Amino acid sequence: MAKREFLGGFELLVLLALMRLGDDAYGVPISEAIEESSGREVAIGSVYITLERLEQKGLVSSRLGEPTAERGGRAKTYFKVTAKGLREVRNAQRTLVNLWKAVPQLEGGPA
Amino acid sequence: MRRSQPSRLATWLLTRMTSSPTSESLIGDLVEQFHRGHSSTWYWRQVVTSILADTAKEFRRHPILAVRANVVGFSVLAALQTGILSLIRNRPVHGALWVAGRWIQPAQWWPSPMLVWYLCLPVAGLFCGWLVGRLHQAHRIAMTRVFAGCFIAFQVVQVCIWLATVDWSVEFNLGHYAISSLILFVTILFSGLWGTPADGQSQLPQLSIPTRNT
Repeated sequence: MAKREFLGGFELLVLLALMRLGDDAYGVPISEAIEESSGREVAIGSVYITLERLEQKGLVSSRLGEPTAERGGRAKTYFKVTAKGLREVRNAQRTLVNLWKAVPQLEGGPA
Repeated sequence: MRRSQPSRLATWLLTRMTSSPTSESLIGDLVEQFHRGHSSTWYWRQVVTSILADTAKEFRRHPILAVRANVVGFSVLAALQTGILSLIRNRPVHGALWVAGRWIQPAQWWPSPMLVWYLCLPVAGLFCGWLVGRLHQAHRIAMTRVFAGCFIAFQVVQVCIWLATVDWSVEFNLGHYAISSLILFVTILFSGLWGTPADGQSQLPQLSIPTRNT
């Protein structure tokens, strides 16, 4: 069987947040989306490191926006999921759903 | 009272201590969030977490270099500490100084052991950090940061072990140990900040960031 690298838990969260946000995804909304879903504070620096790793794997692409005064003259970096990234998320979903189905403790929804 | 601008020191530290090509965008995000009402404490927490996460990333990305940086750093530091301790223990017997018409014996002009220790320690820290950076030119800031991080983690673990097993009948000065560790940590860290920030980025892969079509 070919060796394939699985997506990490945080990588999957970042990819899902990116897919929900569409073209306007940059550090702040991505971390806010994860915070809202998980209820935990997220370090924006960790989000960027994960995005950098995902870009090296070819799962996301980035483009530089315009600098704004609100950000102290610094530009935003916008990210979006590539076709390969979308495939990886689908694979991860399939794997998780298959595993979930076989766990009797998780049947009947959240406790 | 809340500050109108985020801490310049925190921003400077983040600029100098991260090697990511997106660090400018990260700082922009943090500044944006600060202006939206987040506190200075939040800003500092984000900066420290980002630096720690970036240091861990560098360790994972260059494990062999990180191990080498630690071997060099800890070895040189141990040698220097031994040298300083020998300087303290072996106070010169001969070498009286002729000052203002009278001879002053070594016991009078030789500084107190504590003063020698605290004067030599920052020099030792700066030298170790500089040497680690010098031997890892392509990843100078990153490797100095990795060494500083491993050093402070090692000190914390050592203190925890001592606190659990120490024989309190033997003199154990936790305060001096903590201050010495802190001085070494800060000086090692800051020795890596000399030079241009780009030094730490020169060998790192760059993100493909196409310009926006207008």
